Amino acid sequence: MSLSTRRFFLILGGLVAVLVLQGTFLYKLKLFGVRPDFILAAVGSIALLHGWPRGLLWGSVGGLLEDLMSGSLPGSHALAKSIVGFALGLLEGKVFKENIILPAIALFGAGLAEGVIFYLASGLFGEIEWAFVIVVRKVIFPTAVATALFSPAIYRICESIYKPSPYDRRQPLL
Amino acid sequence: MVNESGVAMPSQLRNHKYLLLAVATVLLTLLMSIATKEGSKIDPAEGLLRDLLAPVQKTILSCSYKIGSTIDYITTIKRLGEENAYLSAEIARLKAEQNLAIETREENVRLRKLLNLPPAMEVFRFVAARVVARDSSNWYNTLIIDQGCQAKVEADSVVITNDGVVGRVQKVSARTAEVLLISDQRSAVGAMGQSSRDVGVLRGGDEEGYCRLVYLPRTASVQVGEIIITSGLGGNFPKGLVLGQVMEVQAEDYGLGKFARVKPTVDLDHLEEVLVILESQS
Repeated sequence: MSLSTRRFFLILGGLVAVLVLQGTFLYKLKLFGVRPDFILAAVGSIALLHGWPRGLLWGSVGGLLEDLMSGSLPGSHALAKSIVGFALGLLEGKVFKENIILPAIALFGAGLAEGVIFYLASGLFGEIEWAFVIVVRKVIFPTAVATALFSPAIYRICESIYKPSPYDRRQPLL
Repeated sequence: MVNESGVAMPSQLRNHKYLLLAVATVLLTLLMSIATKEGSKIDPAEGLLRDLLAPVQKTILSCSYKIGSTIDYITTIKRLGEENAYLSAEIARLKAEQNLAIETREENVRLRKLLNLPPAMEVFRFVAARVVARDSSNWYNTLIIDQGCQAKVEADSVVITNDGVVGRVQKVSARTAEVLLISDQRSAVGAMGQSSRDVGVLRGGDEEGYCRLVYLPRTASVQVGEIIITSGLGGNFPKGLVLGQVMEVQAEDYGLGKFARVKPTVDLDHLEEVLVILESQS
């Protein structure tokens, strides 16, 4: 199995594990009354570190998994996360990898954008009936803050996944 | 140029990044459109994933409940003595109330026979289910239970506990079902005040996990503390199931009607087991 395939299954398994844990053991983990969006933090970190193709890919995959495992309309989280993953991927190389503050700020912005896109996409199909102002106050803003607070740790984990092992002579593929 | 799974990405495609984004957006919007039309039907991939993950989720959740209850037991051990004395007094009071209720029920049966009325309360057939997972996002209030089509659970089956209504089944796979809680902003249940008999619709999505009893007329006499029950109107929910208690009554904007903030009687955040109503007979 090639390094890329191994990495693919590692990230896929990691995303499924995060979703399972958030729906069970970590269900009560809340900040400001909301649960941080670990999937967005992971997708955003990968996009910032490795560009828009991976941002788009993992945004779609992570979002679809979230849709399948939660009560949301299939495709709604995937749409929001793939657009945000793509946009963050365009910032690749513009953010210093050693700096953890800038990714946190970028992920705060990404959290706001993802919330707005999800609201519009789900609202279009009649899945959300809350007013926009209420959604921003109750869900989008606190979730973006909570996600940004957790993002430095997740950013470091994503960075380590792509770090080549000292025993592996091959170079990273992208 | 190689993508994540090791498959080469043509450089032309990489140059058309916005085209790729547009294709992904269109495909995902199409998926949403198809899923909306499917309604309560669960797609095979979703069903398979949920059925596969259900045992894992069940194990993790039961472990976390055990850890939580052990910690709770240790921290509340001092309070147990006081609670025991209070509960003994409560049992005595409830026994007296039960005797009164038995008398009233006998009288009710006699009077119904006299007037030739059918029985007021419905008889239900249940299946017990365990909660295996909850919605991890902040947008919806749903949970997954470990009974599905195989146990004859259907879409729109009503889910309850001994405290009252939990919600209704939204999607069903072979071994799991997704329950839309009454606190979800998409939920709407025909409801009425137990003593005032004012009829309205109980909607979810209010602050702090509360619900709102809306479409009450301006003349409604619903009071703070009153119990809200299902009205039986609308078809899904049988009449007389307890939904919650009124915490606040307010006039709607422009004073055309009233609404009441209702706290669900079921602790929806700490559910472990539920009952699914399979069928009801009057």
